[in-house]
Parts: sequence; structure tokens; C-alpha cells
Amino acid sequence: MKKYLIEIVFYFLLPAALIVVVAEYSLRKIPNDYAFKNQWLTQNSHTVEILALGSSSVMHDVNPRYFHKKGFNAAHLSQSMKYDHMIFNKFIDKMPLLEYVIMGVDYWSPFGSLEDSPEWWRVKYYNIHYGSKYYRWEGKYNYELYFHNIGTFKRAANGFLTLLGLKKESHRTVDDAGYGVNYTLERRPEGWDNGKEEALRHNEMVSRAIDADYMALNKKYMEEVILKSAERGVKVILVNMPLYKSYVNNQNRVFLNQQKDFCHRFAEKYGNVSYYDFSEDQRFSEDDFYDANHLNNVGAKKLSLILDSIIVGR
Amino acid sequence: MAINSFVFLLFFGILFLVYYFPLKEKTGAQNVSLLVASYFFYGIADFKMLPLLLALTVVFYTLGILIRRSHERRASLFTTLGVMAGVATLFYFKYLNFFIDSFAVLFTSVGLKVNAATFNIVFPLGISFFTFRMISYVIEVHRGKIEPTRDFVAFATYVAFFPTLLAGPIDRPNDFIPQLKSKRSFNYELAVDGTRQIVWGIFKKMVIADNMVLFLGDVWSNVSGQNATTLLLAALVYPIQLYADFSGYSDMAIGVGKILGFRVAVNFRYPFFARNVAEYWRSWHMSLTSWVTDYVFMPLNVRFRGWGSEGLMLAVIINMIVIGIWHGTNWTYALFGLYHGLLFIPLILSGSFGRKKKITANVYGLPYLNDFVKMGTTYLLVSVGLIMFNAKSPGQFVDFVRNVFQFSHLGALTASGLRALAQSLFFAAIMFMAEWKQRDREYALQVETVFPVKVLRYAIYWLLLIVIVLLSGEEQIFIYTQF
Repeated sequence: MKKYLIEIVFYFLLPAALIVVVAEYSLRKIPNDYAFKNQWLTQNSHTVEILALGSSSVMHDVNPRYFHKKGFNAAHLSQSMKYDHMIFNKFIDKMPLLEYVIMGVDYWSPFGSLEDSPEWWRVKYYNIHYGSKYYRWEGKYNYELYFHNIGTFKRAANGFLTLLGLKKESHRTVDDAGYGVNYTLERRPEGWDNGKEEALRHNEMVSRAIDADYMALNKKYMEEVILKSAERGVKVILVNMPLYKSYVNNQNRVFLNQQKDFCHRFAEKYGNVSYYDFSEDQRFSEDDFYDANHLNNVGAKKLSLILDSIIVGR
Repeated sequence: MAINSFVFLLFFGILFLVYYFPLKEKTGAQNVSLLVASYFFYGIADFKMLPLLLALTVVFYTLGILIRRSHERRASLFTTLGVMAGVATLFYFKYLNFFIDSFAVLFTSVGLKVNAATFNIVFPLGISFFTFRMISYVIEVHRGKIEPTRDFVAFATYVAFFPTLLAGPIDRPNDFIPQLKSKRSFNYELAVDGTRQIVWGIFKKMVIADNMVLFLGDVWSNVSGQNATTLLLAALVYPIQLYADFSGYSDMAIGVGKILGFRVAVNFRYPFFARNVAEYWRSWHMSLTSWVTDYVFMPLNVRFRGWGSEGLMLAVIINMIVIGIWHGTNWTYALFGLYHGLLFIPLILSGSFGRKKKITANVYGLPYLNDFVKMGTTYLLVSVGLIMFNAKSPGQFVDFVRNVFQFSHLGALTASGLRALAQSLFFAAIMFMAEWKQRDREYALQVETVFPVKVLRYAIYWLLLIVIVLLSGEEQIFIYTQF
């Protein structure tokens, strides 16, 4: 018995557990957007006057550097309203200077749920880095290693080497204001106009999400953000981000009308909410896009200055 | 709680410590711990069915005692009652709705209007396995092969032994109950062997079978949308997936049993090295086939003895249909059984039905060419049968076969998951090579004689563990837990 337990524990279980713990720790310590934004907000939220929330479109389309007030972009790729709400709730009481919340409402946002999307694996980052309280007991939403392949362990090895100071692995793609820096005009890929495929993919995603009926929940999250903002005298700006014509032309009109109606209703109901639809704004030309539903650095500057003028003009 | 999950590892770890430390060599207490663990395990999977499991256990335990106490006529009556109770339970939970539906379709097809309402019956997990265990108990008691046990805990543990409760192997009372009554202290060799068998089972299940699902699931969910090449590949690959999944589970169950000091029934003996269908069925799901052979085929064979080879054919066909419909409520299972029964006819006519010839290797360590051709032919025949087995309806089977033979629609492979399929086929090839090399052993990873140096063996175990960790597919339920 002793021999068996020693062999199992010391030759297999302990080394395996050690590898798992080191790999998980190393992966968590690789700098990424979630860790950076949470840390930045934890340290600097008292200085923030404009907070931008939303998904990849806000992350790449809104550059707070062009605002006259101190802004921070707390959007993440595929971030659903549930997590906009979570980040807002976590930091709102630490933002005495906050005046505006910019909330990007994508085509799919009112219907969507991060958990029920192909990007569900991002949920864990909110638990690991933001300390979200959702799904504390579900492994797949809490551990980097829960779903893994060779790539995960390669990343873990790089992370471990980074911890030892032998490598500089980083998955951070945002600047100090939280703006995504990778989508530049220079880096735009050859076949950048993916509007049809993206719109069809989102149509499909929305039609699936509609059956699951996440809209009521998203409405609740949005309403809570608006009401809490109103209590603190903060204005909420709902924004539909600019889209390239190939994307717009392939959107499902029924879903699109529901999305816009979702925003209109809040703007009509609450005095602290205003709504701007840039999705078919003619001021944005081909050269402003990185792909059909994201702006590049040029377009982001244009949109950010427009938003700034809206804010300053008040 | 899947047997290949971390939760199971935790559950089993706690049981192991309790079983071998405070309860060491206390047979009765060890059995109580096994019974509690088994009911806990079953309760997690299907707690609403725990009373059914307990009630059936009480009934069969009592019947065992009554059979022994009674004179022959009453003993036969009690045995019949036991068999009927087991079959009726299976019929009610597994087949009733199916028969109501089928009769309704039949009556409607001849123009009779029927208003067939089906019942809302929940299928209890593992019912096909534990009822067969109980039926065999009363039969063996009646035959005088075993004494009925008066130890209720031992009997209940035999019925509900957690490693084999949900998907077998189906242990026989003559083999298992005596083990429950004997003193069990820790056996190092058996535990190491069991641990290794678990690792081998996990490898087969998670690296081979679970990765194949990405390809096969896509094909079976849209048979009409696939071209002939894709369907053909799916038909050829499915036997490997089913084997890796089911034999993987059996290896894990047997391995867990070994760590606890039990010899659980062997369920597979390298079925894809079979050179004809008879050999295949002697090495595939052996605990079921031997059960059906003992309790269905043998009595039928005796009854039909006077009819010569025709009687034997009829007995085999009925036997195979029973094996088919044991799997569930679909005519495709009956068809699957009938198909395999018919495949036995040439073997019976040629006199090679019961012939057992050990397979040997040539000077290169490979199978002889004629053996290899026979193995390939058997594999193809089995693949065709498994299309029936996996089809949702006879119509889907016909569609599948028709589309395979539409050579105008050959086309390129269309289903997704091809990369995962290629990876799992690579590991399946390794599995078959290891199995061929180790065909005289219980399972392929019994490598202590091939690699006597411990460090080398450990390196192999570690390599397998790394492959499991890095390349396992997304977790899938075990196919046979649904039967």
C-alpha cells in the first residue's frame, strides 16, 4: 500500500499537480487587456470623467486620448451588457469625477450573451482578473487550464519564462487609455471587407440568441447602469458604432429595428440618456475602417472627436 | 459524475482511503462503504431512481432465498417470477412507449384509427445492466451454481457496484458475490495493473473517441447533406469510435475494480482482430454476449436441437436479435441483430461457427495476409451493421447506404472536425499497433514484460498522460450509458 501510494502520489499526482498549478499561475500572470484594465481602474478610477463600455467595436473605435476630459476605455472583445454592468458596478463608487458613460450597443448586443456565444471562454477573464462573482464554482469559467490544448501549454511555458525574466510574453493589445492599438490602417488585411460574412454570422448569432431570450436581462443590466448613473448625475450616451456598407446591407432588418428600438426606448424614458446612431454615418469612408465592423486608428480618431464634440457641446 | 472526471477522482480517492485504512480487511464494513458509495454515485446521476434500484434489489434478494428454500416446482415458479420481474421492469422503462408507438403505426398503416397515448416514463440509467445482473442471480441460484446470499449488503453491492453500474461490464453472481464475501486487503500488483488500465481507458475514450465526435456528430446530424466520401469515411470510422468509447469505459471500470481488489468481468478482447463475425462477437461486449449466450442461446439451441443446422441458425438469429434490442427502443437495433444473425449462417454452414483458432503472427510480427484480409472483411461487415446501429430510423440507414453508393456524389470530405479526426485516427493506429503487440494480454498497456525497466514504463505512462492532457477532445458522455 505504502509503495503504491508513494508511486502514485510522488511520481504522478504531485508532479502533475505542480505542473498544473505552475501553468495556471504562469498563464494568469501573462499581461493581458483584462488584467491591465482592471488594475488601471483600481488605481486610477478616481480620475475618470468618461468611461467607455462595450465590445470590440468600442475597444477599437473609441480612443479616449481625443477627449478633452479624462477618459478610459473599459471595453473588451465580445463584452456583453452583463459584463459592462459588472465593470460599471465594480468601479462606479470609486469614480467621483465621472460625468459620462459611453455604451456601445452593437447589432447583437441587446440579444446577446457572452456565455452563449462562441467567445464564452472569455468569461473566465472577468472572474480571474476583475474578480467577478458570476459562476464561482464552474471550472470552465474560472481556470485558464480548464480547456486546453498544446497552444495553452506553450503559452504557459512562455508565461513561466516571462515570470523568470527570460522572455517578454504579453497579450496586451491596448494602450494606457484602454484603446485597442492593433487595428491600424497600415495593418489592415488585404481582404478586410468581411461585411457580408460578419453580418450573416451575426444574423445567425442573433436568431439563435433570440430563442434564448436574453433581451430582458440585457434591458435590466442597461437600466441599472442608467439608474445608478442618474443617481450620481452621470449622463449615458448610447452609441451604434460605424459600419461599412457591406455589413449594413446584409443585416437582418427585423433584428436591426429591434436593436435601434432598444436604444430609442432608453433615450426616451430616461433624461440622462442620449442615443447616437453612427452605423450608416456618411462621414466615415472606406479608409476609416479596419474591417467591416471595426474602425481603424484613423476612423477611431474621427469618431472620438465627434463624441468629444457631443460631450463638449453640452 | 463521469468516471473520467476530476470529481470522480476525488470521490474515489476518499473511498479508497476509507476502504483501505479504517476498514482494512473488515469485509462487511468494506462492503457497506462500497454500497454507500455506489448509491451515492447512482444518486448523483439519477437520484429519483434510487428507490427503484433498492426495491428491485430487495425483490431479487428475497427471491434468491425463496428459490433455495422451495421445492423444485415452487423454485421454478420463483425463478420465472424473477426473470419476469426483470424483463417487465426493462419492458416498462425501456420498451413500453416504443411498442405503443409501433403498434399505433402498424394499425394506422392498415387503415385502423388508433389514438395511442404514450406514457411519460423516465429511463433509469444503467437499468439494462443491473436488471441483467439480477436476472442472472435468480437463474444461477435456481441452477444450483451458487448459494443465495443472506448478506443483503453483499447482494446489493453486487447489483449496484458503482464502476460497472451505468455501463457494465455485466458481472455474473458466481464470479462477483464470492469476491464480495472474501477478505480484501490491498494488492499492490492488482492496484498498479488497475491504475494502468484506467489510464489506457482514459486515453482511448478522451483522445480517440471524444475527438472523433467532432467529425462523426456532424455527419450523423445531417446524413442527407453529406457526400458519399464523407459518409463512407464516417461508416469506416464509427466502429473505432464506439470501440474506443465503450472499451475505454470498460477498462476504467475494470481498473477501478482492481484497485478495490475485485476482478471485474472482461468485456473486450481485441475485437478488430477477429477473422469472422463469430470471433468478433466472442471478443466484443463479452459480458453481454456471454450472458445472452447462457440464458437465451443455450436454452434455444437445446430446444431446436432436433432441427439440425437450421435450428442452430434460428437460435443464433434470435440470440443476435435479443442482443440488438437490448440496446434500446428502435427497429434499427432489431435490424442490427438480425443482420448479425444472418452473418452467422455461412459460418454455420461451413462448420466454422464454433471453431476457435488462435491468431498468430508471421516472421515480421504482423498478421498473415489471409488473416489480415479476413480481419478487414469482418471489419467492413461490422461497419455496415453499425450504420444500422447508429441510424435514428431504418429510413436513415437506407438513406445513408444509398448516399454512400451514389458515386456521382463522391466529392471531397465535407464534415467539420477533420483535423480532430486525423489526430484521433493517428492515435487509433497507435492503439491498434499496441493491441496487436499485446494481443495475449488483458489490455494493451500491460507492458511490464515488454518494458521490464521501470523508468521506461513510467516514461510511457507519462507520455500517455501528457497526450491525454494536451489532446483530449471535448468531454462527451459515454455512448453505452444511454443503453
